[in-house]
Amino acid sequence: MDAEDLALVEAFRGGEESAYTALVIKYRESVYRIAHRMVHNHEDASDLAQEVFIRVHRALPRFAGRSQLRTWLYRITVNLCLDFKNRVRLVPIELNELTWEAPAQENPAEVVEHRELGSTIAVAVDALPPRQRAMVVLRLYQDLPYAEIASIMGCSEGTVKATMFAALGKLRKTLAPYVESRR
Amino acid sequence: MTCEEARNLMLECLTGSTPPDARRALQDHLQTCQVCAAEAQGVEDTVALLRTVPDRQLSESQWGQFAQALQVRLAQETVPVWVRLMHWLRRPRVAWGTATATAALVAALVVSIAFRVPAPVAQTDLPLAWRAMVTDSMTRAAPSMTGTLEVWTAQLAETPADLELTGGD
Repeated sequence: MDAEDLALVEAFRGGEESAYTALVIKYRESVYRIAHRMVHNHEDASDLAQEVFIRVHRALPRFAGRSQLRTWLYRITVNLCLDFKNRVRLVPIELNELTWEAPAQENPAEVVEHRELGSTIAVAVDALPPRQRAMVVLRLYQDLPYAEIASIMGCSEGTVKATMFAALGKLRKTLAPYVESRR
Repeated sequence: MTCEEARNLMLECLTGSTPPDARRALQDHLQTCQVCAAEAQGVEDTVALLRTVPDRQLSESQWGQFAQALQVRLAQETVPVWVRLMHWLRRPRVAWGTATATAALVAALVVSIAFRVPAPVAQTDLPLAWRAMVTDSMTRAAPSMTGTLEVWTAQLAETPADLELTGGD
């Protein structure tokens, strides 16, 4: 385990609540980002991220440390998001949730174009089967190595690579007009 | 390198870190295989497009709200009593007291076992030597008692059946 994480986990087990706060501050952004990429809604992503840290608080005294703390955290996050998506289906993605921060110098037409592209990408990723979507998020947006994604998803590295290849194939088809226009 | 190997490696090269020698081997293959080169171009463009959408950034005030909401939810958590007790016992301030009390308890236990006073012997429990003495004396007495009984039985058998045991003179 990462030395800093190990020290924080030990301190929390020793009764220092501030160690837990430090862990939350260290990982809240990445946990929130994964959740937001998975559910495309600030309120839900925020709720899910809070739920992740509540479960961590509950389970940290029993955390065996066999995997990295980050891997464990992300596994909880992905599982909660997949479970959430199973319960709440067919919720349309709201345009203002698409996080597109247009550069200041862009003209209104470009801003609209970028928003539309952002929406198309979000919809395309959202259309992937849940596990494919999770792997794409972890690989492309969190830059996690395949081995770690395999550990998070509970499968082999080979399965992750094959799944990623299939997911990118689908995304290529969906986004082909946009890819062509950017060449 | 085969096309299948190239496709497997392609994804790694385009989306993450790959050792330089593997990257070079892929580049060599792409220069000779047009199908794989077109595939690689397509994957690369798609990945680049997907990565153009930035992550949502939360402001400090939003993180403040997040922390506040988390605190509220944590406070509502019902933690089992034993978990709270273990947590309390592990607190640095309490831990020394707990350790001292445990050490004292263990020491008292060891002392009580090591210097235990033996329990008094019950009065009814006779020493073995006494018991042996009693048994031997009884065994010695038994043969003479048997002989006496044999004499009495023989004399009774010789007594006439019509003898009237009347009178006393």
